[in-house]
Formats: sequence, C-alpha cells, structure tokens
Amino acid sequence: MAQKLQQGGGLSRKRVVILNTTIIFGFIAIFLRLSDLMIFNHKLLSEKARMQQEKSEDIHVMRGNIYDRRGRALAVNMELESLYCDSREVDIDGEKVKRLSNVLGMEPRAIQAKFKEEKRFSWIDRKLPAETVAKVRELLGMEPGVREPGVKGFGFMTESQRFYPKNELAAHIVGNVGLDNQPLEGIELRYDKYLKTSGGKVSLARDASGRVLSSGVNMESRGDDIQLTIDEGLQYITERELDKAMAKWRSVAATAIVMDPFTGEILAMANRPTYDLNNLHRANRADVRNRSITDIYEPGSTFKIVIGTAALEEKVFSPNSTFDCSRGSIEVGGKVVHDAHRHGLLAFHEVIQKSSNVGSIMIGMKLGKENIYKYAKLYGFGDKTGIDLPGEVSGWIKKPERWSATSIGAIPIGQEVAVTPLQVLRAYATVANGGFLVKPHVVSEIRTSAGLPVYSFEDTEKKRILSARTAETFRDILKTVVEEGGTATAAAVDGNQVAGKTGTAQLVDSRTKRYSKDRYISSFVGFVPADNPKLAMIVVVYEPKGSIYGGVVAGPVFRSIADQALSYMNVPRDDGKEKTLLLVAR
Amino acid sequence: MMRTKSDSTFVSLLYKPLCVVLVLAGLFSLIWLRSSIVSMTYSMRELEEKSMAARKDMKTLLAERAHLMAVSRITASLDTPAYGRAKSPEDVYVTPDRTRVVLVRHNTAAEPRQASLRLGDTR
Repeated sequence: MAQKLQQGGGLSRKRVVILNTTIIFGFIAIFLRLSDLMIFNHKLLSEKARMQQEKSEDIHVMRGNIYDRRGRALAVNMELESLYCDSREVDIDGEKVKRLSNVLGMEPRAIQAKFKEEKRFSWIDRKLPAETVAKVRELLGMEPGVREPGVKGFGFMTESQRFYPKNELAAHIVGNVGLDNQPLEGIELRYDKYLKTSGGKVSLARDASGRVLSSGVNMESRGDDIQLTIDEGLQYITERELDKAMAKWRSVAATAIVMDPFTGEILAMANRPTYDLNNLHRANRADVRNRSITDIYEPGSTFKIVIGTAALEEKVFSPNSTFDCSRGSIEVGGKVVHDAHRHGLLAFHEVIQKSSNVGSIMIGMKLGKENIYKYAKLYGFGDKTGIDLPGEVSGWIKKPERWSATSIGAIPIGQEVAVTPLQVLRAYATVANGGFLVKPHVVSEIRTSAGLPVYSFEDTEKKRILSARTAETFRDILKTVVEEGGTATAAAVDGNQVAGKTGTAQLVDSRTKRYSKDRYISSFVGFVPADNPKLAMIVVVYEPKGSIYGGVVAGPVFRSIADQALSYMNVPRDDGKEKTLLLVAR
Repeated sequence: MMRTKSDSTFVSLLYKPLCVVLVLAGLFSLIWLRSSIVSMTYSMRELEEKSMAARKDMKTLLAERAHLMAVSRITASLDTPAYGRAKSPEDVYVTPDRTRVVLVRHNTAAEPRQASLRLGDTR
C-alpha cells in the first residue's frame, strides 16, 4: 500500500513538473509574443492601429463675408461638392464614363485621362451644382448612407465657393477670388489677410465599421467679416445711370464716384464696362479694371480748382478781379490757347463759371509755377489718395523745374497733368467740407465671425489745406457754374443747389502724338446741396459720340444720380420747410 | 447591549459576498458608464453631421436670399404683368418724393424727459 502510494506520488510529481514546465513555456511564449508586439514591432503596429482607428479631417475653412454699409451681403460663401477619383481604385466601364461626361458636361476623354494619371487623388470636376451632384451620386451608386459605392474609386469633397449675390453690382470694389479662393481683385485682395483664415486638421476616432466618434472640435472656421461704406441702393442708382449714359453717348467707358465729402467714405463707385463677379471667366481684362483709381487722364477744366483756390488763398486775386478775355485766345511759349467762346471782360468768378481758358492762364501766370505746383500737391495730385483698394496709381504732375515754356499755359487748364477721377473728386470734396483734405476709403469696419470688432475706420484723417473763407468763396463760385450763364446748367438738381465744375479734355492721338480732334473725355464734378453737402460726385465719360462738352454729356448724368441719391438719402429740398420737433418721451 | 457570537458570525458571513457584489457592481457600472459615453459620442457625431448639413443648407439659402433681395432684382421682378409692366426703367425703381421730406431738428432748448411714476427712474 505504501509502495503504491509512493509510486502514485512519483507519478503525480512528474505530472506536476510537466504541467509546470508547460505553463512556464506557455508564459515564455506569451512573453516573447508580447515582446514582439510591444517592443520590436511596436512602431509599425501602433501606426497600423492608428491608421485603422483614426481619421484625419480638414477643418472647413471659409472666407469672411463682405457687407454694404446697411449690412446687405455683397460676398458670401456656399458649400459645393467636388468630384475626385483615386485612379488606382477606379473601376468603371466605358458606358458609365460616357454618361458621367454627359452629366458633368465634359469630354469622356478628359475624364479617362484622369484615370491614367496613376495618382491616389485627382480632381474630376470641382464645385458642382447640387443637381449635378445628385445625378452623379445616382450614376455612381454613391447615394448618402450607402457604404459601398456602386463604382469604386470615386468620392466627393465639400469645398467652399465664393458667391456674389449682387452679380456685377460694385464689382470693381468687392473684387473676386479664383477657384482655390485665392484673392484676385478689389477688397478680396486688399483685405485678404482679414478675410482668409487658417484651417488645419482634426484627428477623429473611428471604430471597426468606420463610424466616426465626435471630437468636440468646431469643424468650421471663418475669416473676419468686412463692412463697406458702399450703399447698395446708391450703387445701383449710379450704375444704372452710367449704363444709360453709355448707351446714349455710345462712349468707350464711363466712371462715377459718390463720396461723403466730410468723411471720405465712398458711397458708390461704378465703372463701365463691368463684369459679373460670378462669371469671371467671361470678363475681359479691360472690364475688370477699376478705372476710378487705375486710369489717368488729363482733367481739363476741372483742374481749374487748383489755380482758382490758390489765387484766393494767396490773395493774388479777389473774387471781383477782372480779366480781359476779349481776344478769345492767349499765346504762351509760342502756343496759342483758345476759349471755346469769346467772352470779353470777365470777373474772377466768371472765369470759373464760363470755364475761360484765357482767364485761367492769366491767373496761372500771375500765381507762378511754384504756387501752382504747391497747391496741386496740396490737393494730392501726383500722389496716391491712399484709398484701401488695390491698383491705385498716383498720376503725375511735373516739378516746376521741368516745366516747358508752354507748361504755364497748359497746366492751369488741366493739360500736361495726369489724374485719376478719385483725385479730382477729393479736391472738390475739400471745397465742399470747408478746406479739409479727406482720405477716401471703402471699408468702415472689420469684425470677427462672432461679431467682435477688429478694426474700425473712426479717426478720419483730415488735413486742412484751404482756409474756410477760401473754401466758402470758391464754393459760391462753383454754384454759378450750374446757374444760368454757367457751363453746366444741365447738372442742376430740382430743389437743391449744386456746386461743381465741368471738364472737357482732349485725348492724345497715339498715331500723330497730337491732341485728337474727335476723341474727348467729358466730366462733371461737384457736390450737393451746395451749402450743406451730403454727397460729392464725379462723372467721367470717355470718348462720347454726338457731343463732347462735360456740361452736356456728364452734367445730366450727375443730375440724374444726384436727384435719385438725395431722395434715397431723404435729403430735404433747399426750399422745403424746416420743422422743429419737440420730443416728449422715448 | 451585548453582541452575541451568532450575530457576528452572520455579519461576517454577509460581509464577504457584499464586498464581492460591490466590486462586481462597480466594475459593471464602470463598463456601463464607458459604453454610455461611447454611444453618446456616436450620437454627438451624428448630431454634428446633421448640424453641418443644416449649416450647409443655411449658407445656400442665405446666399439665395441675398441674391433675391438685390435692388436690381427687386426692380426687375416688379417689371412684370402682375404689377403692371413699367413704361420705362424710371417707373420701376421709385425713390421717395423729396417734396414731402422735411428737415427735422431736435429742440435743444428743452431736453426731452422721460416721465415715470417710480422715484429715481426719471432721466
């Protein structure tokens, strides 16, 4: 019995040893495997796991919106789908390619070329309309909710698309962006650093079935919003009147700017020809140009503001000084300059009212070239106005030492100088506001997408360049231009007094290098109501057919715009009754 | 009060299973909590996706509204037989009649006051 037990005990010990050895080897095997997984292949496997468990997604980036002064949207964003393919995965038959090409409006060959690129990612067509996306989804079996698409290797990606709800309205101010939302023109370009925003990627956890877990991160980022000084209503009125003028005078181009003379806020800025912001590909290069600030021209008689105000400011002449213009012409440096009509003896104010070249040259000669140059520079001619739009040019005016013998007979009447319409308007705004040179601007405020202010154009830069007395005297002279006997009676607005000046400038014939006999630029610049100006405006019509005079061509355009603009702004008539309102309680 | 031996034996008998039950309950609670959090994250993601889709629609609708509210478009829409076709463009876009606009100025001599029945509420 005891031997049996001893034999039994020996067997059991043997079993125990075998079991223990097995367990130990088992643990060693597990340990080795774990070491392999966790130490030697850790990097590779953890990367593989990360690839399976994580999904990287781009934060949706959008540009900030652009609004007019009353908060009406001028540029917003939409989200559109873009179709892409992975050429290594694409599995589609020729028939479906043909149908896809019909839906997308592309050549089948162009689509098939994308499959041959051997790239993991190629765009097929971008920013498609919702209807097209629905058709493509149906064709490729990619309806939402379906995990396995009918045709492999295709996918949609959401992209931000800039949309301009007003189409061509204020096109030259708002500007535009390219296919990848890169800024090209206007505010879009000038304020790109505010409008754009940085994106980045977010890593999202996903399970074995591909379902994504929330990261709690805002997947959308929008740039700062911009509020302009432009008013959609005034812009529309201005553009409509320019269209009519273009049709009536069969002109090559036209420009009009409406500005608040006290603050420099641009209320409307229109150019013709123009283009549709949503169809940039159809526009010519000339259509895209903002002529108000990029095109220079000889201003003609509108430049007489320089010699007129300089003479008053320097007390070279008084408003009652007289000039003998009876000859109708004057010889300067061997060149004879004529008046449009023979006038006789003219008072200082009549020289401006009748736009006498002879009288203006007499004033200029008495002032001297140093003074003319000094005042032209004070008004900012030859320098950029600093408007917050890209592409502004400075124009030019020669320094006195470079003037020729004929310059003193040309510059006082607006020849041998090159200006932009905005520079001329700013000069007249100086007279309108009592002698201050203002800085024109089109942006009034920049806000974050949450509405917090980033930048506000509050401290309007003003520099006094004329005394209040000179400004007032010259304003009274400018009123006579629009009255009976002046050159711009057609610019008179019913109910409000207008002050302004006409300009009729000859263009230089590039072939003969002499002033053309049939190509002119007609302009009118002024402000209204004359004694309490609410708006200053310039209208420039390039190469009108049928008439050439600023008072005939541009004057009526000024009147039409001003009449509607004053109504739009609810500016009372000068002859309207003034009422005092007693407020009782709020 | 004196504790009997049988009482202490009964408590010690219950004590161990209770501990085990508590540990197990805690363990399962943790698992339940964790799974609830995960399922909530799934729900949140679904809501986020819905919100993104709604925002996308909202952007499209706002863009369309801005397009329809354009002054030029309103003018064109009024130029239809339903509203009586306009004879000329001027007839469509009508600005206010300025003969009816009057200049209103505040009477600075007498400051406006707000009347109130409550003390200290007058401004």
